[in-house]
Amino acid sequence: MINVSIQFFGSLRDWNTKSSVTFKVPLGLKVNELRTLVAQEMKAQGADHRSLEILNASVFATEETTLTEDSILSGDGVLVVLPPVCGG
Amino acid sequence: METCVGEIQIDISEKPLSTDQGLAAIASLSQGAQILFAGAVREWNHGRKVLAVGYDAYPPLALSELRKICLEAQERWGNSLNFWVSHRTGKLAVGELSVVIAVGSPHRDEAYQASRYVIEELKVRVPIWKKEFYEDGETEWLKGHALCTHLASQSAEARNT
Repeated sequence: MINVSIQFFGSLRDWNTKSSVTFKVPLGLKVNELRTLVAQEMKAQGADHRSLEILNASVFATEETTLTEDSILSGDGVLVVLPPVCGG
Repeated sequence: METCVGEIQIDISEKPLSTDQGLAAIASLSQGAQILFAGAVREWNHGRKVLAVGYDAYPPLALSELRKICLEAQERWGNSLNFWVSHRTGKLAVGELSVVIAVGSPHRDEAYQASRYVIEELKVRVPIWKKEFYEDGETEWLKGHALCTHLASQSAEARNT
């Protein structure tokens, strides 16, 4: 098992009072599977439907790059969840 | 000190932005054109009176994506273009500058086009988000452009079932 700490940005900061949430997941888990676990945790903690929709439209990323749904988690680390962007 | 030709300077911080700083940063004896774009918080949005806008960003990817955008602009309009791009984070009052993009180029056509390219790409690619604070006390995170690609796959699957 590996520890993955998830940090949320934009509107997804609002569903949880903590700055990050840590998940213990199997080594080799794919991002789309992690997304499902995150959604389950958000639902369990009372996140509203809008937040879950935004999660579904968000991309998981590291400091270096965004990840595809097939990306494999290869060890302990920090991932960020980036909702649809609107800077400028 | 004169800026080197082709230099790209990117910054994301809570510090107030300065258009003078942007122009000074791209000034060069070889650049005949200096184009400045400044984005400011406006008072009305979709019929609602805005008091302030809060900007959130993920700096590691925001900085790298902005640099990538400027490099793409150099590829299209010339490696001699200078860029200074600065985006502010935190809570900004109406009228305050949220983003400044300064482009230096030997000639104006390339500078105009490159400047437009940078702001349009920033809006759809760079991990920055904004929340509006309204006169009635409510707040709202603005809708944005998804960076993920799996939504298109979901739509295709739904159409095929």
